[in-house]
This record gives sequence, C-alpha cells and structure tokens, in this order.
Amino acid sequence: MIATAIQQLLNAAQLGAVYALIALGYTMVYGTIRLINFAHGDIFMLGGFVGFLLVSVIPGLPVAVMIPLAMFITAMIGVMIERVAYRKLRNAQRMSLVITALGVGIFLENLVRILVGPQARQIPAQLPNKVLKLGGGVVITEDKILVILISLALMVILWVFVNRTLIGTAMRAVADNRDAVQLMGVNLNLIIATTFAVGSALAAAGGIFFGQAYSIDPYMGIDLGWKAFIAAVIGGIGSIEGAVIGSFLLAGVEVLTVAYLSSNLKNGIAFGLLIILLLIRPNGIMGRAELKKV
Amino acid sequence: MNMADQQGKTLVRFRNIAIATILVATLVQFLGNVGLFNNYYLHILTVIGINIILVASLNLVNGYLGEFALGHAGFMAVGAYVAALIALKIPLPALVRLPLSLLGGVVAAGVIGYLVGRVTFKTVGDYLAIITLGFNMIIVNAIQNIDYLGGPRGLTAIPKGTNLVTVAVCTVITYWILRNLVDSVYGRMWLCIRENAIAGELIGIDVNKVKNLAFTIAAAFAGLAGGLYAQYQQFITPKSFDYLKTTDILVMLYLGGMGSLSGSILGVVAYTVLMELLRNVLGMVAPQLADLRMLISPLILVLIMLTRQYGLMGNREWRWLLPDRKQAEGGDA
Amino acid sequence: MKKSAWLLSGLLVLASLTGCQQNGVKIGVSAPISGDIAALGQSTKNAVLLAQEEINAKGGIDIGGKKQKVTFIIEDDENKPESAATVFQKMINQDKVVAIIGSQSSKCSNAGAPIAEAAGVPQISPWSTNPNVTKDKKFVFRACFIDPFQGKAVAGFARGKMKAQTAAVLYDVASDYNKGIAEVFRDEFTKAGGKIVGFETYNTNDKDFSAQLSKIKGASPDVLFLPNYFNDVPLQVQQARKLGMTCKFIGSDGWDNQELIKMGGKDMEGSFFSNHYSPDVDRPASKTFIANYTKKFNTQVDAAAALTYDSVYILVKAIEKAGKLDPKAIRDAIANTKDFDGATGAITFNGSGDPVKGAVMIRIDNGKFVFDSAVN
Repeated sequence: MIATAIQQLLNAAQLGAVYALIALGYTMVYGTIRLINFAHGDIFMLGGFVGFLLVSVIPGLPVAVMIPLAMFITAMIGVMIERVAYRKLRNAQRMSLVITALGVGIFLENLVRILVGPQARQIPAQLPNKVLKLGGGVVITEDKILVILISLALMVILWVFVNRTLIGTAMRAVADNRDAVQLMGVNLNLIIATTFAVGSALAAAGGIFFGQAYSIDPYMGIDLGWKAFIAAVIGGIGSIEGAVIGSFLLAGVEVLTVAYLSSNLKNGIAFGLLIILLLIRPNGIMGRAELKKV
Repeated sequence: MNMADQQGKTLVRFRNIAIATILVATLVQFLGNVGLFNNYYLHILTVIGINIILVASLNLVNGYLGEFALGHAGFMAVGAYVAALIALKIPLPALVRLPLSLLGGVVAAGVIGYLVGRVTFKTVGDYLAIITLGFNMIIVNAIQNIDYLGGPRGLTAIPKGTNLVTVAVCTVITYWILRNLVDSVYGRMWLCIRENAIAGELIGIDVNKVKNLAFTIAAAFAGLAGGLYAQYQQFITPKSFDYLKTTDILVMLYLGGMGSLSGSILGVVAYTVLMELLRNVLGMVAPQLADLRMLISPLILVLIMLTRQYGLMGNREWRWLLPDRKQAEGGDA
Repeated sequence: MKKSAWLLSGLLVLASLTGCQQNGVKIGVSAPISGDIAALGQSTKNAVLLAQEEINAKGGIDIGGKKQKVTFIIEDDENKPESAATVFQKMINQDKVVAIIGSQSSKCSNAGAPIAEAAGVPQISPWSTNPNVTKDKKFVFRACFIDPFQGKAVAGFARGKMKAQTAAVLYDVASDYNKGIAEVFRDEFTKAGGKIVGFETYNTNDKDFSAQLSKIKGASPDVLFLPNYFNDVPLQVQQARKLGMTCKFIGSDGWDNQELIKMGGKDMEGSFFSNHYSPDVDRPASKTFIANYTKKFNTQVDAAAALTYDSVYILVKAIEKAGKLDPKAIRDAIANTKDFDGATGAITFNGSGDPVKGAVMIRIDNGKFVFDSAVN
C-alpha cells in the first residue's frame, strides 16, 4: 500500500515536471507582455521536432551539442514569430493578440504535420534511461529524474535571470509599465524579443526531453499547452515559482484521482478541485491581486 | 445626419430584413428539397445560422462585458444533449417536438449557465478564463462517463427537426433579442462594467448580478444552438463540444469583432466561406494542394488580425441592423 | 462597413464559381488528413492513391463493357463530425460522387451516414467499428468487423490460448473505438470464467500512464489488454515494463502499424493482437497489396490502409457488377458481395451493412508481425 502510494507520488512528480517545462514559458511571456501565448504549447512541440530532425539528419550528433543547437534554432523561430505576428499588435487590445497566437499555433501544427508527417516519434534516447529500483517495488527511471531535476533547475535559473539580472529587471519593468520603461531609455523591442527567445529555448529543451521520455507528434502541443496554461494560472500567472507549484499541484491532483478515485473522472475531478482552489485564492497560489485605480 | 435620416425611412430596416431572411430561407430550403438548389450550399447556410447564434451570444460576455470566457461549447453541449434526449425519448408529433426540445435545451443550458456564472464571477480576467474552460472540460468529461447519454459513442438517430427555415427563425429571434438587450439599460451596464467595473459599482450597479445575467443569457442561446445542431446533424458526441469547438467560436468572434453583433454575423460568414472556398479552390487547382488548407487559413486569420486589430467590424454596427431609434441617430457605422 | 460588405459578396461570388465538372467516375473520400488522428488520414490517402493508380493503369472501371477512368476526391474532415458532414454534403452535391469511402473514426462516419442515407449514395467506412454506424441504414457499409466481434475474439484468445486467469484493461475513455472493445472484452472475459482485476482509462493525447499502470500493477493481472492506437501503445508498454510489470500484453487492430515496433522495441516482444489479416499468410491479395504499398510510399502498411484499399475495391467490383453508375444498383451490388478476395481477407455481406469476416491473432516475434491463429 505504502509502496504504491510512494510510486504514485513519484509518478505525479514526473508528470508535474513535464507540465512545468511548458508552464514556465507561458508564465514568462505573460509576466512580461501580458500575452496568453496559446502558441506556446506548439513551440514546445516544434522544439521537440527540431531536436528530432537534428538527430535524424546528423546521426551521432552528441546530445550536448544537439540540445543547445535545437534551443537556439527554436529561440530564433520564437523571436521571428514575435516580430512577424505579435509586435504590431502589442498595443492593441489583448484579445486580438490571443487570437493571433491561436492562429500561429494552428499554423505550426499543420506545418510540422506536412513537413515531417503526422506520426508520433520518439527521439532516440541519448540520455540515461535505466530503471532504478528503490525497494518495495518502487521504481523510477533516470530520464524521469532528469526531467524533474531539469524543470527545477530551469525554474531556479529563470528566477535568477528575471530577478537578479539587468535584463530581467527590465522585463519586470516592462510588465509593470511599458510606457514608463521606454521613457527611461530601455529598448522595448530588445527586451520583448529576449523574453520570447528565452521562453522558446526553454520550450525546446522541454520538448526534447519529452520526446525522449515519451513521444512527440504535431498536435501534442494543444492538450499539453492547455494543461500547462491551467497550471500556470493556478500557480498565479506571471509568477515563476507559481508556475512550478501549479504544475506539480495539477499533476498531483490528476494522479491521485486516478490512484484513489477513478481514472474515468480524472479531468472532471481535477478541474473541479482547481475551480474550488481558484475560488479560495482568486489570484492563484503565488499571484498578487492587482490593484485597480478608479 | 441627412443620409441617416433617409436610411431610417427606407425599406432597409431590421424588421424587413428579418422577414426577408426568413422568406428567403424558406424559399431556399424548398428549392433545396426539390433539388433546384445545391444542398451543399444549403448545408453551409444552415451551419452559418447555427454558428451566428453561438458567436453572437458569446459576444455578450466576451465583447460587451469584456470578460474572457472559454467554455461556450460546454453550454452548447448541455443544450444539444437535453434537446436530443427530449427528441429521442418522448414520443411527440414533429411540430411540438422541435420547439419543446429547443426550449428544453435553452432552459437547461441557461440554468447550468446561471449556476456556473454564480461561481465564475467571483474571479476576473485569466482566472475567469480558466474556470469557464474547466467547466467546459467537466461537462464533456461527465457526458463521456454517462452511459445513458451514449458515453463517447454519443447519441445517434436523433430525429431530424432542424432545417434552414428553423435555423433562420431562431437566428433572427436571437439577433433581435441580443440587439435589444445590448441597447437596453443592461447593455449600458455591461459596457460600463467593461470600461470600469469599480466606477460601475460606485454608481450603484450590482456588478455580479448584471454580469451573471449576460452569462446566463449567453449560455441559454448556446443551448439553443446546441439543440438546433443536434437535430440537424442527427448525431452528437461529447468530443464535438470540447475546447477545440470553443476555440473555433472564439476565432469567429474575434475575427468579426468584439462588441459588434453585425461583426458576429460577418465573422461567421467570412470564416465559414473562407474555409469552404479554400477547400474548393485548392482542390480545383491541384488535389495535392488540398493539404495546405489548414496552413493557409491560420495565415489569413493572422493577417486579418494584423491589419484589422479590432476584427472586421470591431465595436461598429451595420446601421440597418440597429434599433430604429438608433438608426435615426445614425448609428456609428 | 462598405469594405466588409464588398469582401463578403466577393467571397460568395467566388464560392459559387468553384463548382467544376470532370469526366469519368467520381468517388468521394472523407479522411482525417489533419487533426488528432492525422496518421490514419495519411494511410487512407496513400491506399486510395495506390488503388486509383492501379485501376486507371488498367484503363479504369469496366462499366457495361466501357472502361471509365476513376477520380477520387479526397477531402479533409479534420476528424470533426461537423466537418465530416460538410465534406459529405460537398462531395454528394457539388462533386456528384457516385459513392463515398469514409470516414475512419466512428464519430465522423456517424455524422456523414445520415447524409449519405438521405441522398441515397452508398457509403463504405473502412474502419468505423461502432455498431451504430450502419444500424438501420440501407446505404451505409463498413469493411471492418465490429467491436463486439473483436472484443470477444480477444477475450477468447486470452482465456484459451494464453490461459489467463486475471486481466486488466487500460483504454482511452474519450474514444468510442477503444471504449467499445474494452467493454466487450470485460464482459466476455468474465463470462469465460476469468476475472477483471483492473479497468482503467485515460484521455486522448495523454502520454503519461504511470498512475493508471501503477494501480494495475498492484492487482498483478496475467494479461493487460490495451485496445488503443499504435501511437499510444508503445508508451503504455514501455512505461509498464519500466514500472516492473511482467504481464503479457494483448491488443486490437489499432496496433497494426510498424511504428508500434519501431517505438516499442523489444518491450513489444511476445505480445498478441487481433487483426484483419496477417502479412505472412500466403494470400496473394494481401501480398501484392503490401508489396505495392511499401514500394510506392516507402512506409509500412497498417490496418487503416488495408481496410481503405479493400473498401475501394469492394466498391469498384460492385460498380462493375451493377454495370451502371446508379447508386441504387451499386448499393445492391455491395450488399450482395460474396467472398470478395481482399487484402484483409475474404469479405461477404449478407444484405446488412456489416461484413462477415474472420480475424487473426498476430504475435510479435523478433520485431515482426507473425501469424498465430485464426478466429472466425
């Protein structure tokens, strides 16, 4: 009994880590320009496929080269998307930007489907993926541990980047008051481009790990993207540590529902609990209520 | 203002347009039935009508009230299933069956909408988006698990009650009600809340109550669309009402323009016609290009949003669809 | 406002201009080219294109002694019922097709069936296993066996040859194909004296099944039945093995794709699944199809491709038998198909929309699908 419970907690941790990989990118873009980037799940997918293509085209490419290269390529694509599709709408009403993001997402899904094919793929495992037995029948694989550690590491790096560096400070300033920041002589375009580059690079790293531990297909970004978005909101959207907490919480609720209630009702119960949570804390776990001026 | 005065007196007024719409729909349906009108176009017109109801009703919440609700397809599901059950399980003559089943769908979706709204409007902004999305998923998940409702297999062999005429009548009535609501004192309150909720509260608006009114009405009309859909398609499955459907509705809504009922019509028509046009043109040019349809349509969507950031109509109306009094004032188109 | 009105009328005019006519026999195909089961759409398209090439290379369809070229109009239904309805309306009324192949998922076939039925256009769905699709319909057929048959076959195999006392099931609750077979399996396995110790579900597009599998592991079943598509199954099997589960795996025709082995690797070894045909059985029809398909598309055959290919030929044979392009005559000819020698085995229709055909059990052996036994 206890062994199963521990196993389920480990399962929740790995699922939560996957959500966190995407939720971090969501929350970062949101934190800077208040955009719910619905294309982010698809950039996650794209990053996975960039990694997959790199490995297929250049066999034997070491993973230490492949991952940074894929992150760089995806970051450039992210910056390009922002430049072409989002920049012009930066000062428009928020919702037109959201719809544009939806359009970009649909475009990416179908682009990958046509170019690479609709089948699910697995990126050949170059990372350690041995099974570790923890006793009492409890097991975990090395790649899952890696995913958990990486999502936590990324959270820390991102937190330091946003809170302790000059450009991070500029990002937070952009979030607070875009006009004032420009008056202070900050290059707004550069800051926002950096946000997208970092967010997309994170997504690419996530996509590649995901493609090794699970599999990637052109439409996977939709469901995962929504889940990650929900996780980011529960944590308090815009908050980096909130995104991670929200991800682990969502995964925990899902896994425990499957384990102790009914897998049929996984989505129903998970969302029911989340709604209750949001009613108790209407701004998410780590979110701050925004003060409104009359 | 001269132009406007003349407009007000011409034949181009809402009542006449409404009557003409229903007459034309009846004629087209008749011609379609006897094989003189392409049934494919008839089908597209019917789908457009149902989608106008969906999109225009969501416009109340997302456009006029300025919230970001993501669960419209869930209320459509409630309406569709209730209407389908009434049509399937209660033996009724066809003439009674349709109105009764639609009414059932409207009431059920409205009640659920009211209850969801009670909970939802304790939050605002993106948190509200998540809660509505959550309810959408819960509704779909619940239907999937109820064997009486067919589970994931859905309900088949629903009697065919909907055709272009019924859709036209329902669309016109929906549009008329929504238009008058937007023009009423409640419409002003919604706009006031959208622009500044706190100011609204200070001048004595019961914000939550007024918000929930919009939400309930929107949900009820989504239920109407669902009831029409179920009895047109004769088959429903929970997956037809998941967040992909909500996304479709949102795209049409924002394409047409928020806070504009005429925009909702335009958005639905433009999007539906665009998708079918791509299907036909690409297939005609070369069959291997047909694959590009789902690639080109999002590009066009992005392009339109980039050039017209408030959607095609954003906050403007077609003058001849406004109430007479406003028409005389010139509207703002 | 003026501009938008112009735009609108322009679109409408263009739309009305685009109905074009071509000569020869036109057959519609509704396939999920995009959307969550796009992989099946790809196979459908390939199979149809292969058949079209073969038929036209022979001069076309022989109708009353005169050969006519055939054109397949392949439309994307996005795996959405409402799109399937639109596609059916378009193909019937705009393209004036004589018959329709499709769609793959039961929900899309279900949405199209009332339209085909009302228009009196024969429809053959390659792979919609939901019994409701053909129920009470005159013009609607399918080329596959239905859920109850397959579920029973697999349950019988698990109890009989595999001698399983206990079984668990993990299936996609949001998809009717998976749920249909899972429930029949549960009932039949219990009826045959076995015990179901786990009945767990997941949702389409889930990729992590550890929670469900950990729960199933606690009940330690002899076999785990996975009636899911080949995209998901390797992940489920891998994750189960990594959790230390030692049971046998068993599946349904959704497994039939080489991707299963490519992704699943050696974890798939020794598993069984039910299928329509076996590549290594000495059937010329299967062999030729598999060879040609693999050569033309440089990819492996799967159940969707094979069933689509058979649907096309059932239809073509029926048109030739009818000797005219009359939907009613074609419909009667399909309904009276006897011992059609297809890639997926012999197919006979006894007047209803569901075929009488056998199933085979396939064993995965050294990375290959190997014939194990036949079920009738």
